[in-house]
Amino acid sequence: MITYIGRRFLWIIPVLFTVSIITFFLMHAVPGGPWDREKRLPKGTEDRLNAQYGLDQPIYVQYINWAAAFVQGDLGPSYRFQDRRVNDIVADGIWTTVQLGVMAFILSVLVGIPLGIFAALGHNRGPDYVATSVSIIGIATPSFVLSIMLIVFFAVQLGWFPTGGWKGPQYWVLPTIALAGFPIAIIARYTRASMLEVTRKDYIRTAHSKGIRDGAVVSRHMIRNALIPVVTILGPTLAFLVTGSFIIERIFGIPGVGQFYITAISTRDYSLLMAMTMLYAFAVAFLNVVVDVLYAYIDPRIRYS
Amino acid sequence: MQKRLFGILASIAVIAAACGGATTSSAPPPASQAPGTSAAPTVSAAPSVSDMADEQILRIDLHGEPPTLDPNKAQDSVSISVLHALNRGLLYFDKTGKVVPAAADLPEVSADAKTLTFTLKDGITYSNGDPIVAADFVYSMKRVVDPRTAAPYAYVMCEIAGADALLGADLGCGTKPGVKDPAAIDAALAAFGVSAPDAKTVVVKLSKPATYFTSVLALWINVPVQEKWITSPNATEAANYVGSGPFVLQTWSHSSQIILKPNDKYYGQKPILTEIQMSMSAEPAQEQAAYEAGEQDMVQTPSEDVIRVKADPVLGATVVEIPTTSITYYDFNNKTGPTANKDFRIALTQAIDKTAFINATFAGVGAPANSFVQPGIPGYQPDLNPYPFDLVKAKEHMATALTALGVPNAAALGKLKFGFNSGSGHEPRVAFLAEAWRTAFGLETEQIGSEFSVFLTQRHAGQYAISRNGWGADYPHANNQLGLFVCGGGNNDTQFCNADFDRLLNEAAVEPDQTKQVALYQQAQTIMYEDAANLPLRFGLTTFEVRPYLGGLEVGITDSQLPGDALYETIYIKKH
Amino acid sequence: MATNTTVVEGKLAQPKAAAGPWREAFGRLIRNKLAIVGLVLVLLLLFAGIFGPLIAPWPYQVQDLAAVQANGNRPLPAFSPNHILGTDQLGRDLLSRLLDGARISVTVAFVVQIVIILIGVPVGAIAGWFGNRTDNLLMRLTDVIYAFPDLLFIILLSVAFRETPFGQALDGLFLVFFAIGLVGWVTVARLTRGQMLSLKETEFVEAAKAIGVSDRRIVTRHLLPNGMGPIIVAITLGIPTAILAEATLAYIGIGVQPPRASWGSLIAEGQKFIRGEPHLVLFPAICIALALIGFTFLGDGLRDALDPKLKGKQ
Repeated sequence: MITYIGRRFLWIIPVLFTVSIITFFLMHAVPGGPWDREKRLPKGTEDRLNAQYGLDQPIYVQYINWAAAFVQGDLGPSYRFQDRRVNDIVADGIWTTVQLGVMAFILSVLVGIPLGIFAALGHNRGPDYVATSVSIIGIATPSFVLSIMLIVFFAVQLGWFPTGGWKGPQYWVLPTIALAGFPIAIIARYTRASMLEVTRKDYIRTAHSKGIRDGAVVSRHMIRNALIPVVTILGPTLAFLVTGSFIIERIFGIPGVGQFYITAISTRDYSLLMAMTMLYAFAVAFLNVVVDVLYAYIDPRIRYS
Repeated sequence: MQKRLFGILASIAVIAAACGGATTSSAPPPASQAPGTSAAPTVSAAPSVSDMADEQILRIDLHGEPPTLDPNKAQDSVSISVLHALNRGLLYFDKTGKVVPAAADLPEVSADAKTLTFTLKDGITYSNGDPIVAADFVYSMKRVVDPRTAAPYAYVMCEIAGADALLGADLGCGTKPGVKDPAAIDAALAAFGVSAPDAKTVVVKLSKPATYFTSVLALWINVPVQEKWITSPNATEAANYVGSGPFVLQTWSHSSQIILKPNDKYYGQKPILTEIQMSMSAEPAQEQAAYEAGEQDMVQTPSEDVIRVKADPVLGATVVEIPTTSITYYDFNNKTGPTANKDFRIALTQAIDKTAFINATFAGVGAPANSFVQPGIPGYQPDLNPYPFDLVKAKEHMATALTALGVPNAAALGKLKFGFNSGSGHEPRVAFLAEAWRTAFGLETEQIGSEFSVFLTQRHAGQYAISRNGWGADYPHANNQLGLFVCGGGNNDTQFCNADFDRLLNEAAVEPDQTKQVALYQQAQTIMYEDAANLPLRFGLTTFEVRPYLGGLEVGITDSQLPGDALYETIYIKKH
Repeated sequence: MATNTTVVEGKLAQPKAAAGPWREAFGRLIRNKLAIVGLVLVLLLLFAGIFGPLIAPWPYQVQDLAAVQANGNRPLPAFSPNHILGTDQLGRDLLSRLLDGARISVTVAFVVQIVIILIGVPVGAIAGWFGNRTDNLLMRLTDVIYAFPDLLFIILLSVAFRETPFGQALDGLFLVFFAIGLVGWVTVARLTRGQMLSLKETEFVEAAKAIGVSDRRIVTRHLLPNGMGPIIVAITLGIPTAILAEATLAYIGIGVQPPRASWGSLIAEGQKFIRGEPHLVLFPAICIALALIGFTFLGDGLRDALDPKLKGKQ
């Protein structure tokens, strides 16, 4: 098992390498550049800026320069925020984003899994309808709309929480709920589906017929086995929460790094975009390893050679 | 779960705020000051103590993180609104946009109106106590025009002697190329027309008389900058910032908040506020919510909320509407396609009811525009309207155009490409125009909304028959307006090219007499609009909500984002 | 175990037992009330998608500006005369636009999911079944796809191919759906793989192997049908997710171009008015929710109906 884990972690390196190449070339292939403004800059100014940032060199040279700097931990200068380096931008915001993501993750799990179990146990009866409806609302409501609704209701009308910012615990509540809305719904649905799946398996029937009490059957056998597909989803869910929280960060004005993912694309801030992509790729790859290890732990039938 | 694609919201705020596409990008100064006369600086009467609240903290929003606080390099309204508070140059503006003394008195102007001599006031210092010296102004202005700085606003300095040689056509000045190699650059900089004969005197030599030039010297880029400061690492971070204005940068939490405090070393009017808290929200709906929740003292009302807010008994009472020197216009491709035909363009123009347009897509806020130069800028021609809304005439012109183009009806032209940048709220405006043309002529358009950078590239390459455009004045002079449309101009996406127009602009640029100069610009503009070159639609008017307890707001055309933000030092909080 | 094999075989081959298993499955479906509700909703959606323009009260792009002006330049609320669900700020009837949006959503639903199934299920099945190097390689491939800057990819795709017939198909939507599907198959692949991993060690698989059933048969005839539960859920959940993805892309100008409207683009336009005219967001969101309910219940019902283990219970 240890060698397996070790090998999996080593595989992250080629994955990151591939992602970096694809992203780099794709990024430069899209029309437009970092200096695009409604009021065009004089051509000479653009040329100067391109020279300063090395954009006038052939693509592969630029990539090599970027990669060489990257492996030494230098993420480059930001194209948009001209006085800052990407390392500083990321350092400033990463922990905020991680914190928000982890809080939303915990909330999603704490609410989503019980909701799914609840629905599965009350299959096709009252509890199922309720839980399913909640799920549906969570999925069908875009997080932007959910955020605004939360702000209007809880911040403007009730005044219980501030409308935005990140200056203390009371600022954490609404964004966490908004970010967790969709994952709760997804986790609930998957939990329910795999619980139902498992209910029908023979070993459950066997356990029932042996007379093991419902509670014991549910908790030990069903949950453990039902968690496999759920664990599959948790991995990417967590990755999403951690770096894909940019809608939430944008709306609530939270100084994390998630907000930069899309703005880096639209402002063509190449180094920031590369940094964000690498971050995300690393998070996803890492979490996938964690997920696979959890698989083996939860389902003893799975063997890894 | 599909990946985070579903969660992505390249939203209005993102694109608009990040790219400044929809906001005006600078403080437009006023009609130029006739040289030689002096104007007393505008100092507001200080409020009485009993009128003032105990807490003098102003809370506003910047719409986003400033890309830079380096004064020579800044180009967007977010950065500029902060820089106005942190630095002041030789001159500044009052709320009417009139140029007034700041670090220096109004200049002595030579007889040929080409040399401006400024004498710095006595005892003026930076926020760190260092004296402000003439050499710092020279260094700063040279840094702006140095090609190696690649300052976006270098082009406003073209009238200074040596600018053409240094910057050249490539960087926005003149018609000849500028210098490239470092030795030549250094030589050209040494020959540049800004000098400091002694510690208190700054001399600016112009290459031709430019009556508006004092306005340029009052812009945020021409503030004094210490070489030792700006070249030190992390110079613009709060801990290191050295400024010359009424406020200092106490805290800059990136992407979160900026806090300004009064600069006790400031030589001018001391601020009444004890603190300005500037949050950075990228989402207009959240800013509006923050205002309604009592967390902000001023906000720009999102256009979709304007009607609701005005109708609201509480919020409606705080509404203030302020004109901006900006214009919404749509380009017709003058070079290729059916829009190259003049009658076609006239037909399209006369089919649009601009008042209805503004009512439907701007909530009725803003005045119809029939020509380019905006109100408040010399050259504004309210009476120029050669093709007013008239469906009958529009159809006649269309018939003429179709005959010339050799097609039986407009539908035979196929779908004309109508480009705009998506995610910035332009969809209803595009839809309105497209539908108006469809019902009037049966003309079909393909409405192509693209991502901002992609859209700019395509518009500039002439890929659209009709495209969305807009302009905000950098400074209030017609050459910053009509100069866009010279043949081959970098911002001339209309592809307008008219020899008479160019000739008139060249004459105007050297005409010393103000009145004659304005007349020349007006002639040029008339040519342009008799040709129906593009479709002006609306002059900018922005709706804000301002707390009644804000006192001393000097609202004027010099503001960059919020009312009175060019002159934070006059604001105070009334008891409430 | 033999029972299972027979049932599974019978499900896919011609029935040897009394009533055909498909008929049995259908019977189970009919008896499931929620599934019927789902089926009805899905059929309604299909109906709206196909016949929408015929039953819409207004053409979707016509602007009733007079009515909006008479209403003080505000979009008309629901239950206005002539506009039962209200209008947007240009006076375009919301119901008509929702019906136009239905067409787009129906297309999204099917095209994207087909792309996803066609790529994701085989990849996941192969990875899970063969394990070892194949699994490793394919899973690393999915890692790369996951981390992929998909928005960038989609922008590029749309700009590069917009002028081609490929890009013009379905008003530019085909390109979008293809792109969404192309980056979205990963979840289904991982799920399939996960199911495969846990199921391939079960006894009936060992038994089938012992009998000598070929690998391919085991996978396609035994494992996939048994493991379909979460996969079906993923697909039914994928549909509204794809609709939302389309909304996002419409928002940044890729996908349905104005004046056409998809539910997602209606939400994107309408959310700016959420404070004053919430119906502009509410109604499209309800449509998406109904579509989700429909596909979810139907999907659940299908899974229940097709599950051979339930045979005994009925």
